[in-house]
Amino acid sequence: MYLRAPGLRVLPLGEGWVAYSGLSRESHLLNDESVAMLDELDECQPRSAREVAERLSGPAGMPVDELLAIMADAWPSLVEVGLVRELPMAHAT
Amino acid sequence: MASAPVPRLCEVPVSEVFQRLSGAGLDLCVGALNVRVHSNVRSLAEQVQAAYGQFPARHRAPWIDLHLNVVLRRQLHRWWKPQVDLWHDGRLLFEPFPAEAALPLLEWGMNWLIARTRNDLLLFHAAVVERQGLAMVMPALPGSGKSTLSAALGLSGWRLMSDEFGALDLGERRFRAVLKPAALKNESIAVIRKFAPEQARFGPSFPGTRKGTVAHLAASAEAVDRVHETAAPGCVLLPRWKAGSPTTIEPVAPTMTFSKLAFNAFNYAVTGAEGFEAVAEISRSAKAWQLVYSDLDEAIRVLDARWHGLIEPNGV
Amino acid sequence: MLLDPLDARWLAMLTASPPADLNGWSLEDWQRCVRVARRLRLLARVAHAVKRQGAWPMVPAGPARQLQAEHELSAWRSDKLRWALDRVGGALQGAGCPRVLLKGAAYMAQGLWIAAGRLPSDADILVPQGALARCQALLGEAGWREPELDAHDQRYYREWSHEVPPMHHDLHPVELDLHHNILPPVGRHRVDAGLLFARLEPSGWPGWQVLHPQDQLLHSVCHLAYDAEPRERLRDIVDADGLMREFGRTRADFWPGLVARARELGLTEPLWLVVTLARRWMRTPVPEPVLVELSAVAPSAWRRAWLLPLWQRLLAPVDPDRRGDWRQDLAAFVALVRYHRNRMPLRLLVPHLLHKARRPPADAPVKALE
Repeated sequence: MYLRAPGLRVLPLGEGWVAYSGLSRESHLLNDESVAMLDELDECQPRSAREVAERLSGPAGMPVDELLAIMADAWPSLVEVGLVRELPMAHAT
Repeated sequence: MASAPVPRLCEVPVSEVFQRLSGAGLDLCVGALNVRVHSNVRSLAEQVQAAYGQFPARHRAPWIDLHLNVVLRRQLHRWWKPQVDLWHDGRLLFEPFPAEAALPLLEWGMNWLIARTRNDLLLFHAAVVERQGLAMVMPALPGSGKSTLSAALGLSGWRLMSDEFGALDLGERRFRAVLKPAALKNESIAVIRKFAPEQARFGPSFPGTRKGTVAHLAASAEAVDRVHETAAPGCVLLPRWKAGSPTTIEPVAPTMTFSKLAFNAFNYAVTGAEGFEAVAEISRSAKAWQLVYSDLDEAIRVLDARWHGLIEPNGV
Repeated sequence: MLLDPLDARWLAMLTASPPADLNGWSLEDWQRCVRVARRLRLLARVAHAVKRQGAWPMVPAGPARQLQAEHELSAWRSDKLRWALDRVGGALQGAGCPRVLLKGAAYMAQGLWIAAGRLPSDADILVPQGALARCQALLGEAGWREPELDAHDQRYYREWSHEVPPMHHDLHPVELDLHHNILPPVGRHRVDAGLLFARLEPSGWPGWQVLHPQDQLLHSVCHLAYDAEPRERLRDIVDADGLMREFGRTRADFWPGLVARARELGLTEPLWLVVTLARRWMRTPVPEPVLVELSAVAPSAWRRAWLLPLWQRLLAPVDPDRRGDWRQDLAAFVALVRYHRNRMPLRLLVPHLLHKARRPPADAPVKALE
């Protein structure tokens, strides 16, 4: 389950995006896909990777499972740099 | 303001400079900060006089940000090569330098400390020149030749604010000067001497440093006199010197500008969200170009033209 | 030349109640304050004290920018520490053992007033010795790496010291110090870590615990008394004063039994030393009954005669216009020998010191950058 990190700022910059995490104090250049994932997250209400994939499936024009696989690599990076917080799963999906 | 003209360091006898250094200290106001230098090294008096020639000789600053002391090391044996140490507030910085290289030691120590003690400002690693109240910021990247270019601009009607620090006041979003002698290396020294033989004033050359031969180009009288004038962000320039290349200038994507400014700064990380917002704003609204050049005169002509194109639409 | 902390107006200002009137401070006062406090790594605490008292408008522009600069640096370092421990906590979730925050991180997690204005460079945590290997493995998987050590240093850490060699991570600027005790098992002073683990308390950070307030103070005093580089560590006295003031006020179980606990942990002399210096320099309020108990366990008059001046000399700040102080250097040497003697027997100490002497010290003057 994932949450948007508190104090997160995401700004469009030309063709790309820049993001700042108040948690890790790091700044990162992001692509559209990462920003789309962040947009689907909330600071208080946790969402699972599957929920995010389901919400993005339509706009991305991709099946949910394919999207899940693509996003799988991105989640650990987003967590490690402090843009996303991960909550331990209470039970397996 | 005093009615009598204030003498500059190059206008007083070197003995007076040494008297200050070895006594109450020599105060240098470089813009964003004031430095007080003490020293018992005679050769430093000459070196400082040359490198800081246009700075007031008898300035007494009410507030000092950096107290530095360049001290001759006590030698066990007289025939060992004399060495100097740099002290800051009673703490030894760095390993000793040869006594004749007191000025490079002072300069590097000052830069090192400025980068560490002024986290109230966002310090880009960049040269900054000013024209008509707007700043052109040149991030320091390897192979950029930014020191040579900014030195040449400073000798061509642009006001040099700093060779090393783009000091942005985050509250006002304006650049402040950190005006010090520009450290030019190897071929750049000859290039600038040739570029402005009358105007360019250098301190002594120091061969055999880790980066080769270093010489310090003194700031102009105008740059020194206007050291307190701030400048709004005007444009960002990413220079690249390439042997034999014609001068080309291309716009740069805002994300590239952001990278080159933020990830190359001295203390971007420390400034947190404020620094982030400031860099994003500059990247979004200021024009940014990549300049590739080999001929200095031609590069400056191209920049002049671009600058006019930049200024007119703003109605400045 | 050494400065007397009692002359430092800014030191008193840290705990002044009612707040000090900064209007009477000259630029010269501020100059002294900035130079000395920065060197002692207390400048950010001065900045916080000024802000807390709502006195920022009374600070002239020159000192204000220096205070602000240190304030920013402290905020950044503190945030990076919190973030690193957040990630470490996640990595150690599967370890199945208590995880204890020590020193600065513990103060931050409890929201103590001495949490503000710190300049942490290390993250110190404590786990039971039995869980050490498991924790090291989990941390290794999360990207924390131990330095490459030669055989001698590896033996030192594994057999003699109470900590794992400091660990580093590519994404975090703080060093992680993983302890299983607060004093080494070899050496003249033994502290059974189980005594500490028996009295853990929750902190404000989920998954992390802290020592009992008495043990936090005792850890702080023993850390100072047995550190390899105690010079000018006046900030440790400021910390001890802060702990005594805050816990003395908020916890009914802080003062009673403190001296007895110190005796149990073999730390009566360090406690006496720190309380004496804190009362002298920071005017720490200590209840009379505690002072009576402390005087009963105080070192002999003969021992006091050299121990107290030694520590005063060690901790006092050096005049910023001077270059070191030979008496402080001498005191530091004595303390260093004592430090190592406490950590390992003489027969092992000599080869270790010889070995250390051949390697450049960690705080050697930095090579000039180009």
